[in-house]
Amino acid sequence: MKKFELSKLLSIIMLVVLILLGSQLSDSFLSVRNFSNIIQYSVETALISIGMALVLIIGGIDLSVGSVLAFSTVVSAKLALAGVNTAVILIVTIVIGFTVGAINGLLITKTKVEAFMATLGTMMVMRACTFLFTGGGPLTGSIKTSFQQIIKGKFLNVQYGIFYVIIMFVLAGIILSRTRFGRHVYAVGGGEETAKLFGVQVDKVKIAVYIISGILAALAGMIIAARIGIGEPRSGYGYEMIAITVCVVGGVSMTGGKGTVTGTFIGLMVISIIKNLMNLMNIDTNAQPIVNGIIILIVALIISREMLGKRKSLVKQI
Amino acid sequence: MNTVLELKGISKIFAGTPVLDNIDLAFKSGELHALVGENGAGKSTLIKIISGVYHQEAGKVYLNGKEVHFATPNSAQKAGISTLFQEIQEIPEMTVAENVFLGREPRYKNSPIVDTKQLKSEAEKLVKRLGLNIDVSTKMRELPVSSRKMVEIARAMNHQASVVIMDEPTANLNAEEMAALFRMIDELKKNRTTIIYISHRMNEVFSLADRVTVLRDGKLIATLNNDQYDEKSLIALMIGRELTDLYPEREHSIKEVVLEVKNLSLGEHFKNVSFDVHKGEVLGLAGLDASGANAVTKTIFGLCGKPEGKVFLNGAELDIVNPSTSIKQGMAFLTEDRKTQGLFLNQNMVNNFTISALAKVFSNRAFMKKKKERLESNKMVDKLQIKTAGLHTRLSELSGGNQQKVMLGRWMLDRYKVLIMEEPTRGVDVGAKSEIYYHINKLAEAGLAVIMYSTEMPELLGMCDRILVFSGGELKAALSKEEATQESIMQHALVR
Amino acid sequence: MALQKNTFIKDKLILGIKEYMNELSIAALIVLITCISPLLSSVFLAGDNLLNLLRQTSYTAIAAMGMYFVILIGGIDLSIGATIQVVGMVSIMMLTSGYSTVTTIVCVVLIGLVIGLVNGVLVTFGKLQPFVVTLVTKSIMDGIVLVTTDGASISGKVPESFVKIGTEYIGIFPVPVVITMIVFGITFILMSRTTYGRRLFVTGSNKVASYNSGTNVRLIQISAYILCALLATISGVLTVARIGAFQPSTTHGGATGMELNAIAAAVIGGASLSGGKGSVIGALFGALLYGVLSNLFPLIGVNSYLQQLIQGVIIIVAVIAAGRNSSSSKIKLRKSNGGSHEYST
Repeated sequence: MKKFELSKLLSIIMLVVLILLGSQLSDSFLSVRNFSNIIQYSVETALISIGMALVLIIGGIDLSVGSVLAFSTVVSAKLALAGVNTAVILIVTIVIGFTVGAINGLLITKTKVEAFMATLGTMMVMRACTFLFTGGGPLTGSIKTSFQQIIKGKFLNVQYGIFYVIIMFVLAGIILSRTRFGRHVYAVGGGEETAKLFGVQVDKVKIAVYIISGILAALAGMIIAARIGIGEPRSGYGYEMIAITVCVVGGVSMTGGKGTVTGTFIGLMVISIIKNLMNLMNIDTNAQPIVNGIIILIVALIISREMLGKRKSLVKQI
Repeated sequence: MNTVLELKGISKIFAGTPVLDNIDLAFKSGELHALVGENGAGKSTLIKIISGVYHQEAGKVYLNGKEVHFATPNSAQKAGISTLFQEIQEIPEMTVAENVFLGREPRYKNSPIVDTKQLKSEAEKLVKRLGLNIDVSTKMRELPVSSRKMVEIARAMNHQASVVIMDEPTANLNAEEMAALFRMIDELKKNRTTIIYISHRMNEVFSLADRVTVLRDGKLIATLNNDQYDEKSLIALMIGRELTDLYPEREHSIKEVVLEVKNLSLGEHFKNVSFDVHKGEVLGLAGLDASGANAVTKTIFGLCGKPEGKVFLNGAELDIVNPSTSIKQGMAFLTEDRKTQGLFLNQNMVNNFTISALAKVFSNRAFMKKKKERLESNKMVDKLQIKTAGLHTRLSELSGGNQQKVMLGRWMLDRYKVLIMEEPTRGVDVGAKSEIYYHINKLAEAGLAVIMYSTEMPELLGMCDRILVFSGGELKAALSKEEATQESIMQHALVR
Repeated sequence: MALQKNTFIKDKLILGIKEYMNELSIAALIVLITCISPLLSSVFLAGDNLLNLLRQTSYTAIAAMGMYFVILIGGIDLSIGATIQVVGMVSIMMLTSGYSTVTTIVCVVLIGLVIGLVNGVLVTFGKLQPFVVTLVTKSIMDGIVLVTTDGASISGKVPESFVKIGTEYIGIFPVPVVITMIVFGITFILMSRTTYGRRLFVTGSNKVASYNSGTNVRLIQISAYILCALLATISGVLTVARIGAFQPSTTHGGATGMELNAIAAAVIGGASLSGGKGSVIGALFGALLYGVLSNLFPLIGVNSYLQQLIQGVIIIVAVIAAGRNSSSSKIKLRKSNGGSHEYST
């Protein structure tokens, strides 16, 4: 009885096609080593995409993630260079993410600024703060290995990054599908007025979601600092675009109320494998945004077509 | 019987117009108290104040003898007032169970984790109690309208409330579901729950209500026990004035046919509809929700794409493509919801008046005739007696009646052949109503053919020369002014 | 008759003041900054510097006026920075390989037209959100520029006539400033005097109502994206004509950031992302205010990063202020509307 919905299976189809394609194109593609590398290098994108998925589900947008990432990168690099304990760096990072997220959330709920404009503003401000913090160039020096270990380390011969990705997705999955907060996230995105009518504290949910997005972006920044060992203020350009691509490919609706953590994970895999394949085949990394752009466009068009077909309205769409 | 909920001196004003005026009313425990009145009488506003959606300008609400202020609907719910709103309140992308328990999800002990098993089983129990055959894990948007309404009823029942408010609960229900609802109502009454019930369907009011309160133009007219009224006296109280006061006389000079609709069909909405409209005539279209009446007006104006069948305007076939082409051919259209479909609320009066006549009247090639625009707009303000601080006033600053007049004025700045109107006086106070009717008459007298779709029966009866009644997508009857009564219209409208 | 004429003038005056309140206050702010500038810097008011300021402003101003059209109809165009890059790159590539100035300009204008058309069609017929569409076209164009140039600058022999566009003066004014004034003149007349401008304006206010009143909403919407891309093209040509070479923005996916400056200028000038608000003058003044600050800050020793920070804060403040102005009436509306009557067409 249920009608076939292409948009629901789209991400899985893409994933399967990519894996088949990859196995044909490169011998090294279908190896445990390659796949653990793919996941190891997708940690930052995973963190930001989970945050973006939450924000999109409540019907918002967070353009500031790239800048938050950059700011936390330079701050954690600076602290690491000064030999500060990793736990302290972690706390500082979380505070940075919390603060920017809270500012975004408050601007959007209390001053009724559109999410787009509010996060555009904080995006500019945080990028400027990043450059102010470093004085323009990257922060270099010898970073403690203990700090670098947070991403480069291994446990039972498995890279930490893989654990991070698994833990983050499982945690996000539980929060979104099993907790009261998770239900309210969907409710806010699916019908704000109705949610309000039935006692959902819409503003609190929104602020919390932007805070989560901010913290995840900041954590991604800390990981980048540990990975590359310097504080590069130009980090994170275009990350909002990558995160949106991951979410859209993973079936998260840009208009709110729809999307799952599993979908986001598949979206992440699709985008990461594409990147991996391009590397394996020596395609110019500069072409990456072109490919991502085309993918997001095709997926978005397919989904919007299906939505139109589904909505039976008397009046013709303009 | 003791009083549960009491209202004292409740008043409410919207955009300068009083919609509720000093209402005193007491609801007793275990009674079904019906609120009746015409559209715009203030029933919905009153219940929205009780349920915390609106806040009164004056007056007090007492619950069990204590004064209460409900800042939000949620706080009213917590205090034991559960409301079933007229519009379905739902999150379409969430499941039935999630919708029923939204905001009150059962949890494991005090953890933040939702007890999904309990959530599901409780929802199932509730749905069963209502005699529904719905899988509680389907998404709301996948259900038909009537089931969605029943889910909402389930939610309202689930609050263990001492007062349940129902605003037109039966509007979308079929006979079986209605019976289930009435069983629930009996159960609630046995548990001493007070029910405040709003319905346009008189037979429901007669069979269910213990007491009835009549509202008219925001005032409380009477509260009667169920042995103190009959249908006639109740309707007289609701209308409260001779129809002729409101509906001015029109010089009847119906001439040749202007618009001829032949075997018009549009998908599932309506089929094989044929009728014609004469110059100088006001033709009414009546019908319940989804009867097709409203779809016909929209289709003729080109809002629904190309229909099957033909429409002739002055003998030539009307090319139905979109509103732009319809307007060019001489069709005018007053939309049903002025705020979302008709007006530019953040713009001044000139922009709102002249938009439809820009190309023909107010421009020379691509350039605007700005002086003429202001001159004609000013004339229109005078003609329609619109109360405004000047042409620079933004539409959002005008009252509903004046906004409606601007919409009407938009179609008086150029000559059209047919004017289609949907709900021409929705949400408009009585004074402005009468003025709008006057202008509609003038337009008809000047030779315009007017088609009026309305859900307000008295309006159709007072204004129209003929009334077409629709049901189930078919044209069921064409009643002349003499034949048409509330009863005869309803009789045809209810035929399946 | 005389009486009526009088009320007309009064009405027109009130109409003017009320509708241009925002613009007037920005103008006042610019004047104020100019007046106090001698206290801060002796260089600012020098003739050379002022002309330089105007020239610098002209690139943003033209782009901002384009952005105004898109924001007016409730959209956004994030691709104009990338458009400017593509236009610059193609211009220099063509010119250095021997094409004439005229051929080159015709070519890049066509490119701009196509970019605008693609954006507009995807938004209108694809039913996609404007920012998704334009973010995509932005990243595709950024990618194209980086792949083509590999991040390296392009230079070579460029015809004199092309360089003159960026460097010559007409009277005392640099050519870009004169072009800005011409663009302003045309767009101002378009918005205030033509039926097209009126339809654009009301469509931004309420798309459904505009459609129901006989506007071809699709065409209007697509045309706004085309106008925006065309003005970005002009801005792009003027930018490369000044240097006579093309330097791609090296930051990955960073483009020139012109879209942000243009959005900022339009929003400061009173445009609102919800559509149907603002004016061409507002966008121009917004760009001017932006230009004055960017010029003044280095003179008084504010470094460029701090300057960015201040500009970000200005945007947020401008949006909050705009929200304050309109929200009071909006809230009232929603309350009196009762239920949620969403109407989708």
